[in-house]
Amino acid sequence: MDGKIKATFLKKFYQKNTRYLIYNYISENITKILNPYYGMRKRILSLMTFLLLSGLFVEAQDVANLWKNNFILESEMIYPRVTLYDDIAIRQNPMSDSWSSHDDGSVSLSSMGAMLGTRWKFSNTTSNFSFSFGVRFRVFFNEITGKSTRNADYYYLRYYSNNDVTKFARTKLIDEGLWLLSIPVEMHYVFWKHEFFDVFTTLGFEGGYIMNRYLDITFRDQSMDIYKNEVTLLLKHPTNSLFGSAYGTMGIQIGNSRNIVFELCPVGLFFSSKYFYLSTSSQYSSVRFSIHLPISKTQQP
Amino acid sequence: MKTKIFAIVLFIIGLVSCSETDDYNLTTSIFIEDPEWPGLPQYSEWGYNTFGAYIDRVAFTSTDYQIPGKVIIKNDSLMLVLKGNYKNSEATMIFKMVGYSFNSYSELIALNGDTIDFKRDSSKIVFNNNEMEVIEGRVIFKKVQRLFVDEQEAKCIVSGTFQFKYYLGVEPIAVSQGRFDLGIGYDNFFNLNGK
Repeated sequence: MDGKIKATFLKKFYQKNTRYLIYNYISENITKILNPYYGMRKRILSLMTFLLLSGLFVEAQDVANLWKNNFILESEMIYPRVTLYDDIAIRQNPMSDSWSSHDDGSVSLSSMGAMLGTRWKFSNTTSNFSFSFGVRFRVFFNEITGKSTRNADYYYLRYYSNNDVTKFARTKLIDEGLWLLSIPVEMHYVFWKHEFFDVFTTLGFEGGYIMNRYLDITFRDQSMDIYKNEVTLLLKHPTNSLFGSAYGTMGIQIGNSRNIVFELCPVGLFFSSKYFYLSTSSQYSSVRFSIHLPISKTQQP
Repeated sequence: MKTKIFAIVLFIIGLVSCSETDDYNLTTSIFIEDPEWPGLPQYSEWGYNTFGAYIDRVAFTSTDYQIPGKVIIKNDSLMLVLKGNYKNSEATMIFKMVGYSFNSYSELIALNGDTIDFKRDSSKIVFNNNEMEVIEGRVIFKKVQRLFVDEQEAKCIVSGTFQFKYYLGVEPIAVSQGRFDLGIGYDNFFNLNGK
């Protein structure tokens, strides 16, 4: 390669790499300072330049160590706010505002979920921001349980009605479950650093796919089991298999390495209200616990 | 061996109990207050064993401790008896309708959709043993359906509404917003023909 072209190439190469440029310049200045035949004024100027650029060089080294990595193991309990579909006909509808029965019967709908997951977290050491992403396994369970009177162990589910005939099934339990895999992406900000703990807030989004689901009925009378499929079909409402949610949390990090974390999500939003057969749900609350395992800092190449 | 026999006996007793269709739990009253008409039960077709009406704005309603409704068949007449509470006292209202005769509660579905006009049809209303001088009014059997529990016939659900005006002495009185939702079965259906 022609000498001039080579010099130009090298010059551009070094110019692209600031650290090498600074290092090279410092080297030149050290040479000049130590050269006894270099003029005094020029030696002083080179010394000042050396000191300035050394500072920049050290800062360039710190830039390389800006990110800290953590591997996270997490678990969560989640509580969706559910509304029973209107056409699920239960005598003593659990969604009625109020009713009284002198025999103290009660029927209720409950919903809860759980999560296990892992995340990789990148924390900026010079600011209080960090972000993370990972993979989660979630399960949800909904149940309709109750009793028609104080001494009963069942309630009445109406599964057929026409002009002349109405049919009830004495039912002990209607329950459904589903499980899904999802990918969360979160941003975190530590806004209060205390001697023993840090307090942070998180904004997160999660997208996933519902892998499997079931719906089952337990009748009081086993002779009704032959109608299970017919009755179950009536309860199944259209559902959305693509899962998504957005949420904000407040959390606290404790431990010397701040590696034990508790978070509370007061309100999370589902992207669709139709994840369940029995009910709709647009919001949820959750409590999360996680362990953050530090990984070695990013090294300068 | 004795334990096994005892368990088998218990199981058989349990099976017999499970197949019982005269379900006590269906006879209890479930009062869901109508938010638009305070003091009255919401109109329903579940066999909640409730009824209610305003008699000049004072509620006459079913109670928890009395059978709220009975159907009595006698001499080609059907009497629908509503027993409840009015002005903190027990009160009974009876609708007597001519031309109805049923042998069992299952046959009550013949009333489904019927409207009885108290002036045109040969019908009477009795309140607390006093026959009312009806000005106008009607009872509508909006839905009468046979109820099956676990595929076995249990009751007949009789649901409907009523309203009428009558003279109390010289003063006209209005009975309005009347509604009933009754489960009629063996314990509250009576056929007294030939008895």
